[in-house]
Amino acid sequence: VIGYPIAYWISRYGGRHKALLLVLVMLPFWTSYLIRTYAWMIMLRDNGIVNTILQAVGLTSQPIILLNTDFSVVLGMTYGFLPFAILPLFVSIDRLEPSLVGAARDLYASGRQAFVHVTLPLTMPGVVAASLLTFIPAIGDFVTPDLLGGASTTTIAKVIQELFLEGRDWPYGAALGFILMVFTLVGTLAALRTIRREVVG
Amino acid sequence: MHRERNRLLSLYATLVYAFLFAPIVVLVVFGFNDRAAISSGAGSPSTGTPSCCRTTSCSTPCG
Repeated sequence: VIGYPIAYWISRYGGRHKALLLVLVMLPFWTSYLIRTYAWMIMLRDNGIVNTILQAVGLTSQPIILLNTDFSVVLGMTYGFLPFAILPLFVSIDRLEPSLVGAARDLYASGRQAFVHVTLPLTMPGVVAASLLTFIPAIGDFVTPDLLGGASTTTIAKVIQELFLEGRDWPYGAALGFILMVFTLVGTLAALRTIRREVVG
Repeated sequence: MHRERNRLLSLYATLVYAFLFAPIVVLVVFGFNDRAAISSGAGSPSTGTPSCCRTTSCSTPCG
């Protein structure tokens, strides 16, 4: 949802700067994931940049608790996996023949109708690929929930990590890891089936 | 309408790029800051701490 508009914008309005705009999407990810997560911690803490700005603008009088909440985990994971969504979406939208949208417009479809009935269905393989590429690393990510979510946030990957490293319950951890792997596999196969149905027909 | 949509998309793209580069900017800013910790109540890394906190012989509470 967040990646589609920007992929669309780069593809349709990027012009000859498309490559540069794509590199700009990738550029922050040349830095370590851990360091970027720590940067988010600095920004989201009680006396961090976000709270300072909110207080300076007058939206809040007291600092809002942003760090160690579900919001911070979702924000961190969205940040971490956004390029994995933008890139396949861009490829999918860029490969779409513009004349198909033109034909829809010729047949009196409004811009919105052309998007809903032509662009979106034809770029659905990209949407599924983007979902897959973000789902797989996101479900196994334990660094972001650990650093940004604190003790209050629990994800299955974090539970597995704690079982292995702190609980020393390797069999239980391995069982949970196996269940996670099965879930990921089922999700991946379902997504691949959808892609094949969309591409082959 | 088309131009308006284009403008909205451009604004959205700018916001997404700002979101992507925000931690990098923070890293660069703090990369040029020689303070060891950022724990002042003021929220800004450059305010709220006595200057003697940079030395080991400081007797003022450093926060």
